[in-house]
Amino acid sequence: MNSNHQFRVPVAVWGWLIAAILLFLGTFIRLEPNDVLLVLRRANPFELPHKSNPMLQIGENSRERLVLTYDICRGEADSDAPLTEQRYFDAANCDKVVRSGDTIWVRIVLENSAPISLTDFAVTDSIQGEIPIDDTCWHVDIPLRARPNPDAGWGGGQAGALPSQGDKAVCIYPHQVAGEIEDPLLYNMDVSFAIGEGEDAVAASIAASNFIHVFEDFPLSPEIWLPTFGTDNTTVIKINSTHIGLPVFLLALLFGGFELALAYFYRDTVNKLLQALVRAIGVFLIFWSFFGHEIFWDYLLGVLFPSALTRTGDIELLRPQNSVIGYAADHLELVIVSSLVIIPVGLLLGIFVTREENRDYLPFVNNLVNSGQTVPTIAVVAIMAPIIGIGFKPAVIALIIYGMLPVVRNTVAGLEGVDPFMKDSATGMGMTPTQVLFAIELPIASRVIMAGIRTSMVINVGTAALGAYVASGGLGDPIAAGLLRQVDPWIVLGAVPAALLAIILDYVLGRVEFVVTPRGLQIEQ
Amino acid sequence: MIEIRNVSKIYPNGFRAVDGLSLSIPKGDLVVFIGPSGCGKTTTMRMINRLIAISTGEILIEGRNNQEIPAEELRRNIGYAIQQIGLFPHMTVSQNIATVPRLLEWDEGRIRRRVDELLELVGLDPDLYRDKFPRQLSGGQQQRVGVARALGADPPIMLMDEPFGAVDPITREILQDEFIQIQHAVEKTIVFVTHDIDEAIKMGDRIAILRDGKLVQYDTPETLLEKPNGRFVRDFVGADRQLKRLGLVGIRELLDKQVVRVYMDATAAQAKEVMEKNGVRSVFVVERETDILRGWVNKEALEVADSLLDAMHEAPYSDIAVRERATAREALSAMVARGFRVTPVVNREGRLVGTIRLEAIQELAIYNPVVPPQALGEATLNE
Repeated sequence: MNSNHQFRVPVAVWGWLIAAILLFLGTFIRLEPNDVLLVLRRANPFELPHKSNPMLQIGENSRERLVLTYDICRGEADSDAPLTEQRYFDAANCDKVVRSGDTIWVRIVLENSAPISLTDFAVTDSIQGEIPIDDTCWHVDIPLRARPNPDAGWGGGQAGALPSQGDKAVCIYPHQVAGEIEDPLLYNMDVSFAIGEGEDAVAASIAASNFIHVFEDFPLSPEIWLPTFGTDNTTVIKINSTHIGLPVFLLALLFGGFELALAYFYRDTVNKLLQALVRAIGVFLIFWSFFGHEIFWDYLLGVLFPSALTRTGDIELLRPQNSVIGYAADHLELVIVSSLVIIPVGLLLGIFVTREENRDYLPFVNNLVNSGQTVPTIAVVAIMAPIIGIGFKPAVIALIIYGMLPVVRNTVAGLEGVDPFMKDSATGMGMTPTQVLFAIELPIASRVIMAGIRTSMVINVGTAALGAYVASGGLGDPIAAGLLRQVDPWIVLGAVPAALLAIILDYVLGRVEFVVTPRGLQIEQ
Repeated sequence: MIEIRNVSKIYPNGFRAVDGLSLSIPKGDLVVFIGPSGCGKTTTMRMINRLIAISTGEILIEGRNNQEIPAEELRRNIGYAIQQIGLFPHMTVSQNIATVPRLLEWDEGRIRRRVDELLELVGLDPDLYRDKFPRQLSGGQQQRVGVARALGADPPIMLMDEPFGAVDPITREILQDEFIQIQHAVEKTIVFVTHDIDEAIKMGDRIAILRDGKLVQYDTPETLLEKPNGRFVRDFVGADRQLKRLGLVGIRELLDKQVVRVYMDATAAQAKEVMEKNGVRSVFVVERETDILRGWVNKEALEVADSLLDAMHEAPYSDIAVRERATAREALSAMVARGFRVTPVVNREGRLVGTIRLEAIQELAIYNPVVPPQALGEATLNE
């Protein structure tokens, strides 16, 4: 079929493009300047000479401590006396130190609140305690914002010398250390530092420069079967500013490309279904990856609670136990699992009571559905605790009960709203009652039925937040805990994503509604 | 052939919607059920395809009791069109028309050909309308699609419940005329329910007048108008029933073909001579070669004028003549409007073919001569 239509780039493609640019610019958002993120990472152990050493083990049960000593120098590195701090990090149970495989992420909040640059900052001593570091090669990734003077050598900015064999001091090297004079600033790259000796330092820095490509913990939450493009706390809790998991802007570009391809290949047809679906999936994934974009949430908290960020000791309180995407995934799981029951049961119930032979039940079901809506949501959730107990199951049952109402009501309304003459002519032409139901009634009622499903799911996003009262998990958790312990950031981290989730779900289901509504019904008379 | 035998519909509350109705519908005829609201006309129609169950009695279709045929199978072989049309809004025009063929599991190629054929039959361009949705169509187009859908699987019998009820009078007239032509082409046995007596007279081969579930009169339109069976029918068909009856009679057999005429190039003297010879006071003037009517001339005008052309009243035939396919009612109307006692009759090209006298129409109304069915068909085909 040859097209006689002029191909035009759909407006949505420009929308995606703008989104991608904005998201890309958003990656330059930085944390507070005095908040330094150190990434202590064991460089690839399999390629280094010291293979004999086992991988760093800080077991969950161990009480070992990571001791990190560093200097903060003010002004000229060699003129002022360094202010040396020694900090202890409880490796097993502290969200300042999170271990993931070979990587240890250490977040240091400098008590001196004045902004510093990494020229002022150096790790002067090694990681101590029971962690063997003497023959292990470490490097330190320091985010772009806090970078050392590339001319500086090691040990608080002194130019120069490589450590000698057996030296236990932590050596910090700009990562193209092997004689090539390149300004890392120019390349907008992370600067890697190696703790080690001689040649190892070079190897480590090369490994570190590769870090940007490593997505070894590509997260796929198995419970919910939705890709989580962000991160969750079982894998990596902190990411460098430039490492946003799978960068969101690439995702936006990808969907822009999809839309363009679809618009091009389907330019001859009036079929807009695929575009609607691609856009719905794209918008969902973009927002979902935002949930996993911890930097974004840090930034949000930094904007909302600037004082909390800098106050010593508050950093633990800033973030609740789980990551935002972890809570969101639990939340979505509650909604989806309950909807998997609600939709078939609600549809069947609605169809059942509108059949001619079951008309007697219709007033009863109508009254039940209408009065059911007047029961407060919290009552439905709370009543589950004494009956079933607490956890995921009672919350899902409460959601099923509450979310069933709009589905049944709209199914009944949709089927009752089918013009009786439509059914009469279908029957008069020789359709069986089943054929009338599937070929005539359900398609005509589909828009109303889908609106019911959409209402049900969006309402359940709200109801699921109350699930925290029966310990179901989900975004209600930080809200409830935050209210209880008066930690405002927790409330924000629960409430904002919950609202966002409801809006995205409504949008996505709106597109689905558009897709399932037959074309002929979308034409206004 | 549909045979309704002593059929009653008694509702649980004892109401008799149809009460001991018997009538037979000959094959290929269009039978109109008519009567006031609640007379049981629609109920009777719906009992034929078992949308309503029969209480007592039986309905035979081609000799088979319709209760013995499975309801769905029965309905798939009976076309069904209703006033509200009931087109399925989520299906395209072609999907709507293909409803019954799909139920009968025709193959797709045959369905496609059938849809195009039907769209052409009801006067819609298949290429334009095939993929439209019902909501994109006007009321008249929807009615046409409704008729096409009822004809979908070429059923021998059709049930139509006020199929043209939902459109404006002008469109209805057009649809009726088209449907009569379609019926001439397809010759279905049709049960047609209406409450409009003019529609019934126009469309019906036979008309069944019902009242309170009982059959009052079942006759051809002419008989019904001529000999209404009692006061109810007389009132129902209206005080102008004689006029309505004239509407059923074509003017061809009233035509006086011996028309006195003069040609346009004749002289005044020649014209006078023609008048005297025939003993008339006026003659029609026609063109010599084509016989096309151009006007008329009367004796008084000829006395004072120099030539025929000066004396003649010139008028195009469309203004003064009626077409030969018109009904007696139309001819009468034309004569009343123009004050003629005689009106010329022309054919399609404007050739003068005869005249009609007012007396001839009056005689027809008084003496009720039997009109052959042939004439009826042609009369109603008039555009």
